[in-house]
Amino acid sequence: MEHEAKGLFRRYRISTPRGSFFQDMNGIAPSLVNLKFPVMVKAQTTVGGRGKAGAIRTALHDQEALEACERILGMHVAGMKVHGVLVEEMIEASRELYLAIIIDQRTRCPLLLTGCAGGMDVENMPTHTMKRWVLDPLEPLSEDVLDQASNFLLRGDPGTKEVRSTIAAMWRLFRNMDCELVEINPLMITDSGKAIAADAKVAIDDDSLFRHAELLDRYGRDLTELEKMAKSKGFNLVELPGDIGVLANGAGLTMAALDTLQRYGGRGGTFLDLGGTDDPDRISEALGLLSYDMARGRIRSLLVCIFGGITRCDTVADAMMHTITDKNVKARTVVRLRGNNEEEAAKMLRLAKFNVHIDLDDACLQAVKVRT
Amino acid sequence: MKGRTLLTDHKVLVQGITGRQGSHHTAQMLDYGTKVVGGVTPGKGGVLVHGIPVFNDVQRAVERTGATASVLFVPAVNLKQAVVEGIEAGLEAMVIITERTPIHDAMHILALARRNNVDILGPNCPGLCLVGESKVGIMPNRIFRKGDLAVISRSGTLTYEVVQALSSAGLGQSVVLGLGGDRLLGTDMREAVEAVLEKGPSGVVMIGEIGGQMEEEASLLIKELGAENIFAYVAGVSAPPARRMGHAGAIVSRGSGGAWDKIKALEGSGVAVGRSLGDLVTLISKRFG
Repeated sequence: MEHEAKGLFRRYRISTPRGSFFQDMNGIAPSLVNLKFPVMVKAQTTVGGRGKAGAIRTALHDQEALEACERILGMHVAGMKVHGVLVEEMIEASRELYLAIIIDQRTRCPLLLTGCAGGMDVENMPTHTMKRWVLDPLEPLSEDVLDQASNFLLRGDPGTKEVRSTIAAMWRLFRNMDCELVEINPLMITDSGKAIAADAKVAIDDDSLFRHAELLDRYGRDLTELEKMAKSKGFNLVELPGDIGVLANGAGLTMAALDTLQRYGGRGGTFLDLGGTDDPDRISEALGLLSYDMARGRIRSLLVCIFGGITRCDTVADAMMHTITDKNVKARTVVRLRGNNEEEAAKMLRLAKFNVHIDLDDACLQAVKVRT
Repeated sequence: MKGRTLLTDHKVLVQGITGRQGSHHTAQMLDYGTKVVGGVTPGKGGVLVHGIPVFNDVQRAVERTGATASVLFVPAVNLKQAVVEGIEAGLEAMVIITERTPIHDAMHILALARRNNVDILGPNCPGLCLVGESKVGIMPNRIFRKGDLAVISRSGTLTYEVVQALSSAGLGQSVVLGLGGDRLLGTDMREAVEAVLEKGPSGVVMIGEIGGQMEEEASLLIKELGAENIFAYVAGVSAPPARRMGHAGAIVSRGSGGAWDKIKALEGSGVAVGRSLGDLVTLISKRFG
């Protein structure tokens, strides 16, 4: 969230407007005396689209600020509850710039993006106002790039030096904190040549969190109850709006199963990826999660799609027979197995009254049918 | 050319051979006929795993065995160090099975590999198979059938599915390459297509998924070369935006990386795109059956 990103910015000596973050109304009123009006009141969310949702407001005096805070604290943005408000001084600027460091898939390198026209969506910035540099991940940020970028943006005008040191600081933050993205949009350049980050975006790589224990509590705070349960068991689960629970091994196969359901008019309710494993114990655990989701009525049928490549399909079948014993759950479960011993596994499951298929299309069609 | 050394038969080291996965798949690879000549686990030098000698470091393993490639089952925390060691020891190709590699470590590893002309497959990949010759990685041994198709994929189990379906339909393969599910890959789709085409396959089967621009870039190459008999499937047409679907790389973000864009780009380059797995195999069967 913005206030956390700005906290990191201050640690790396990137200037931010004066202000404070509040989770609720407590403490806002007394803090306003320290601020110069007008102020900005900004919803703190983990998703974008705050501006369009009316979750960023300006206030000319105390009363207006308090009203804005109260209003924003009760809001949802893109379906997510607002986590708090950031109240800060509005910056008067003569120029607004765009700065970002991202990771480029094609070159597998960091990219420095700069724009002379900050403050709008990057997608809408005229291309001639933007310039990019591919950075070498094995080397320190070169002085040449810093010179070129700051001169491209301000051509030696007041603030050029400050922009240069802002970019250098962004690079340090990007490297030290394992960032996928560090973005300032806009970077305000004041008449006196100060560079101040009016907004801040920092995305830290989840896979690097073992190096940043202090950030662990930030991870997964927008997960649903089911997603949290899955995560605690080490499963990869994305809750989806449909009513068919999908359990498969491997991300690609899980997506393919969801796509196929859609072809037959069904909609997936979960993306539950076991990873590459077909370990019967893991399958049982995952089935437990989906049975729970079915018991509370969110999903109405279950599609289990396993490729038995490492162990054998009959061991998977055995695990299913031991986990799904309830008649109603079984009636709404469709199994699709491929791999070693698929015929034998299908025979076992059929004997135990399971709805079994070898073909993915057949299985998806059935999963749509057995919902009621 | 990038990716070429991956497609040759190597003497292979298993980095992380004493772990559960490393040891299991060493046995599988030996069973397939892969020339596994050594293993590396720091501190475990001197022991044998399935009769294969284990060394403390890659340098020594290379000196003693003449290995030219490695496959890595090393935990993400130690991956960067393990790859750096392999590059410094002069390996030509490395296959990274490890999942959840920090992206900054991936950038470092891949840049260092490029600088030293080392070909990398992965991270987070199932490896590759030169069918009937050798297999490096974790793909199941029994799915393959010797033939002339090349299969290139960003997914693991989806590859197994397709390969098995092709094999049952009598459509054999010469090479199967699992590129990996991460955002940054040592060998991307475009590079893989270019490398396998050099081997003169009867056709190329690409299995893509949402996220990034890899399929679009491969399409451009296919158009440029006027390559024929290219088939594809793209997973994730039903995926919601901004959610990461299992793979670190599988995410539609800021309106980019959607499945339909990829399908359109591929079709625009003359690639036959199967709308489902079944369709894909039918398309290929019709052309070659």
